[in-house]
Amino acid sequence: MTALISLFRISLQSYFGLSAMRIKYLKKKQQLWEPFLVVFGVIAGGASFGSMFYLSALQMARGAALLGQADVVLTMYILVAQMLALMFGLFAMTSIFYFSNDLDILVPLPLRAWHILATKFSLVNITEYAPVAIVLVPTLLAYHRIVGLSPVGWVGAFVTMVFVPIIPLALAGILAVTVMRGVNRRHRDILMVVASLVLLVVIFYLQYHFIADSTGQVEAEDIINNRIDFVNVVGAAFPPAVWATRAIAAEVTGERLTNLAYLFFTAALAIGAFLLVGQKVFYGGLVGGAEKVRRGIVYTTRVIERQAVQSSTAKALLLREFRLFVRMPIWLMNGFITVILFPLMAFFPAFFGATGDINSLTALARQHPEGLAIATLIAAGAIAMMTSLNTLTSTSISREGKHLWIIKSLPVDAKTQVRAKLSFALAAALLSSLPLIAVYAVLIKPGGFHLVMAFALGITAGLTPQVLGLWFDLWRPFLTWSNPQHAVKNNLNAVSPLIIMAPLGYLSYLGYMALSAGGTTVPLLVLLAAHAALALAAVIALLAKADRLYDRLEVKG
Amino acid sequence: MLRFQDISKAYQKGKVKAVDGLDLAVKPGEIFGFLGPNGAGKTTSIKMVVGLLRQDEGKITVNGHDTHSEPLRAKESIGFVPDNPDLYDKLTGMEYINFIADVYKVSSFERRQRLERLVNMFEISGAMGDLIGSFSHGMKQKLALTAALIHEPPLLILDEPMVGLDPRSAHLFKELMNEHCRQGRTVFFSTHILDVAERLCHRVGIIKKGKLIACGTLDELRHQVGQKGSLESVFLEVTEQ
Repeated sequence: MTALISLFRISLQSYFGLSAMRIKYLKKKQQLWEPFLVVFGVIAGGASFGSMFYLSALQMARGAALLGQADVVLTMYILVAQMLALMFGLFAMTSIFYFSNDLDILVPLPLRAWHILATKFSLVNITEYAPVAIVLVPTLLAYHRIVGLSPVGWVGAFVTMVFVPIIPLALAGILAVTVMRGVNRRHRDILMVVASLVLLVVIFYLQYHFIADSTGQVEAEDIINNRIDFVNVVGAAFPPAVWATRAIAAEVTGERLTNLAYLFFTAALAIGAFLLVGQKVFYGGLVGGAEKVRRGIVYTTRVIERQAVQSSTAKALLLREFRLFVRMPIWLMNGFITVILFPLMAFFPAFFGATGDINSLTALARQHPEGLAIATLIAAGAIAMMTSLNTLTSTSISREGKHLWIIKSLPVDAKTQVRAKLSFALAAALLSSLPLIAVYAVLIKPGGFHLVMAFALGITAGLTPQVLGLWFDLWRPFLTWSNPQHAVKNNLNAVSPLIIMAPLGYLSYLGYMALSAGGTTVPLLVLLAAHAALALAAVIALLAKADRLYDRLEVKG
Repeated sequence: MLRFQDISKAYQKGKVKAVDGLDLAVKPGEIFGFLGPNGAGKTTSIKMVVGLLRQDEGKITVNGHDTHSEPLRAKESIGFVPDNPDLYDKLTGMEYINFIADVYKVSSFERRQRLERLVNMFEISGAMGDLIGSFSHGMKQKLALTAALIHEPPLLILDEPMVGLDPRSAHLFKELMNEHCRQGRTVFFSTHILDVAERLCHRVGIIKKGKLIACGTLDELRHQVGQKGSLESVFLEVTEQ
């Protein structure tokens, strides 16, 4: 047990850089403004998402309260938080178990596999509390506004929140160690991507099947007569969400405690199962991953002649960006695949038969020009938001990590390198906007003008945050990451485009409203011109500063 | 070919002087060994030449180009292999070489000729299609050197090139340095292995606490310290003073 505690303590210090921070900020008192910037970033980023969850939870709670079932809002958002934990947990677990730099140190030590797994599981679990809090704290505030939570209720809610990510993370852990044990080194990367995609599809299918489908079958009479318990219906996909709801919202203290006990024992069981499976398969998967794989191609004169072909510097840089990004499954999944899949999955009903709500939304949008313009703005906003979410530019320098020496020692000016990074991001933004445009086209069925406007406005509005995200990452890159997941997920630079996007989106909305009195076409065109000008200005400014920013990057150590 | 003029570099807001007034000139066609104890400032000096660090004071020129005012022209003249060649694990050896050759604008014809010679010499022709992540340390060193030589740079800079190499690979590295020099080009390398420096270098410089404390041919160094022994005894004498 001493070994486990010691391992946890040292891992905690290393993973979150506690020792480094203590020396830097408390001992040497260097760059003391950094923590304030970080806190501001977290508050601004958290507030952007939090307000979104608060408003939607409030609307839902108001509606559900009319039927006397406001608790269902808790179940819904607990499920959302658990799905996020499951999805991001899978990438985080795989990365920290199999790609961490410290494994070469830990594995030769006389530690049991479960010691390492339990420690790393705890670290991931701690990081998952941030997204869980961003979803659930606003939900609890909305619930409190409608129903009211006593001080004891709040305490119970926070205790319950502690358990929310544990069960999905344990499931993600079991999946990660099993997949990594079952695949050989040669196909590991591609299989990881495939397994993650399958998991995502399953999650969203379950969401659609259990939530959309189940609620769709509920008879109006049953609702009116209060014969349907929405919490059970919605939580049927994942009973721990029901227990968590009851642990927060049940009227009787005994029922709250009973459900908390369910949660506690299920979490303990899930962790136990994960450690048991991990103890059996973890080292096997790790050793399998360390084995060298040779393709066996000998570079004879003929092969060299075929492959050693000159291309331009710009193409070489762009190709490098692309290859390094797509070949790191963790980056690909975190930064890109989810961005493409989210809109598709979120609008499952649009592709599998629209529901009444969506039909009426479509009708409304098509009957009124203002409605269509607003729908176009929403589609553009969604594209811009998804582009801001993809982390391509905002972690671009950070992802170089220990390889920074290569781009720094190349005889290529900073402008060309920045152009390559922006071109790659722009190409990815164009690609990731396609599913959203498809959803918009299927749902709203707009004309060509609005379709083009949604696309162009979304891309241009998303470009400025991306450019400024790269600027920020050039200014303060996070290069000392210990595993690839760390470079993206534990990197606050990743959220900088979102922080920029939030006020930009709000200003765009205000701008549209101010101009909309004179029709809908002109305001959209003005917004497009404004965003294009802003993006162009941001690109020109960044290129002007690129040399200086690159020059500031020093490769120490 | 390479000129340090009164170069200084400090860390921690000037509290730690890593390099202190370094003044040194390396001639074309020379193999120059840069020696010194751990933490003497060898790697910091090299990193300033290749653009990984900025000097606080002084001027560095490579092939007549100031590394500060003409960094790209200076870099075009350099082939660099760092002490720990961290290359892109997710690229194949061939993809990496093609990337470097594209950036240095090496024509298809030239890269084919050079590549064939280098991969055969280093015996990595069977690994060029594999991901670099699967390479051993020695293979990564060989690939990094292949990349550094693909544009036939006038100045080859190697930071501790012999660390972690097996005897055969170390021999190949030495052969290559000699060959590079025979073609009228320059090699500047840091090392702890004094035997190698003694046998290979035309001149050596010894740096301690950021200052160049001795520089010249082995005979000149012997004369400086009044010793007739090996480079090792000269080194110990100089660095212990």
